[in-house]
Amino acid sequence: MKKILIYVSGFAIVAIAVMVLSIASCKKPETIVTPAPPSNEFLTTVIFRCINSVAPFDTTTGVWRELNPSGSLPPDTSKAILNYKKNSTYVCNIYILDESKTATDSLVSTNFNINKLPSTTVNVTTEIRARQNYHLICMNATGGIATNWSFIRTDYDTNNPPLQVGLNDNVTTLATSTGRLEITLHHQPNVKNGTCGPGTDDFDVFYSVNIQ
Amino acid sequence: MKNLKLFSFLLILSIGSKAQTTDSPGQSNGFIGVLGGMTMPSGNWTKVAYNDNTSGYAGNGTIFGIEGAYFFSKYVGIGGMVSYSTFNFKGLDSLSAGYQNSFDVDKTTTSVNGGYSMWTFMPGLYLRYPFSDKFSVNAKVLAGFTSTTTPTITCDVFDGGRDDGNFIQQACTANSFGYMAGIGVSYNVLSWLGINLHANYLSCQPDFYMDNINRPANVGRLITEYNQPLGAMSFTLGVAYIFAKSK
Repeated sequence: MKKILIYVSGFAIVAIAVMVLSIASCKKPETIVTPAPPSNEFLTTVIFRCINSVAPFDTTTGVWRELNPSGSLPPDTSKAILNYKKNSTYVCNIYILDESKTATDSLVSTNFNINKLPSTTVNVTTEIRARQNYHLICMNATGGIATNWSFIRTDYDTNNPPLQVGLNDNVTTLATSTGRLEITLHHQPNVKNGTCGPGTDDFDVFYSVNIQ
Repeated sequence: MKNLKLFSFLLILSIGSKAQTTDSPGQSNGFIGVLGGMTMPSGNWTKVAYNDNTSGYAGNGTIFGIEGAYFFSKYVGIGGMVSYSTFNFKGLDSLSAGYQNSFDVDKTTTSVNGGYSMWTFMPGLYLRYPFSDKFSVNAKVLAGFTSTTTPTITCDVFDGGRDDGNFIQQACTANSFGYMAGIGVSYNVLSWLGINLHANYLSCQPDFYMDNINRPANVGRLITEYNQPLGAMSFTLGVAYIFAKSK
């Protein structure tokens, strides 16, 4: 009987030793790779709408659209035109939509109302706003408008310090001119610093601009 | 108030037990031994909910330590325990998926260097009720110092074929007051060797202040302070050297 109990004690000692050794094994580093889940959402349509701050009936809306997510067909730029009056100030908003599931005859026009979209159209703008802390919209005016078209950003994110987002801007025009406006949406996860360099592009669209 | 009542009860028990004869069963003067076992955390720090900042992602782990007590009467003694516990990090996949979703990126790679670790240094009161020379049931109430270290968490963000760098929640050590209560059984295999089987509950509430590296954007789960009660149940097996019986 005594022998058995001594064996039990020996077992206890061994068990403790095993537990102590197991502590070392439990401290092993662990790594997990998480890919993005499949997504069915696209950015098909980018709308740049500007309303004259002193004459609201003076509104210009440019619609850039690419319904084919693969990009195999060229984008529809027939409505990607912005007409401004010279020496004016405009309040401008960018709207981003997914119209990939919307029938052709229901696609938004330049008279669209963001609050009355077809049920098959997704307003991606709200998602960008929700994720504004790592998104930045950049604008680059070239041609004759380079010196006659300028913007002041009016929306900022909640980073510390706050950084520009770009869904809302005030645009100022000067002399009569024409040119091209490039708008890019930058996705800057953990690298947003207020400049356009970091991250990747979610879209890169162009508008023809006329200042008359 | 509850603590005062408990202390009074133990004091009375201690004084009363001094009147007992010394040749009744199970009256060794005390013991010193080693113990090992498993730990099971409880409370908010076991949560794995990404959006809940009280989540601590603590899982089961192991414990080992040294414990000893001196019994100045049949039933009551004083002693202490020094232990080292580890708690695995659980739910790393959930944390990584949370980061991936928050940053809306193609891929995140999240790493953790082990888990939590905790040192405890706790003196206190030991009680025992011997049923024979060999077998006794015992209990303890300890209080003292705890030192807990959190794991380092690293997340690397990939998007659009680019590595947007990693951010790190650095390991942090915080000290606090803690207490432990336990019950168990002891069996004296030999006059000088015993086996202890114990269940203990530990509680403390350290206040961690974490440093986070490379978090320029206010995005996703960002923990800068963690101040939650850390509870843990441990089940230990120990062997002990038994001091000579009183004459």
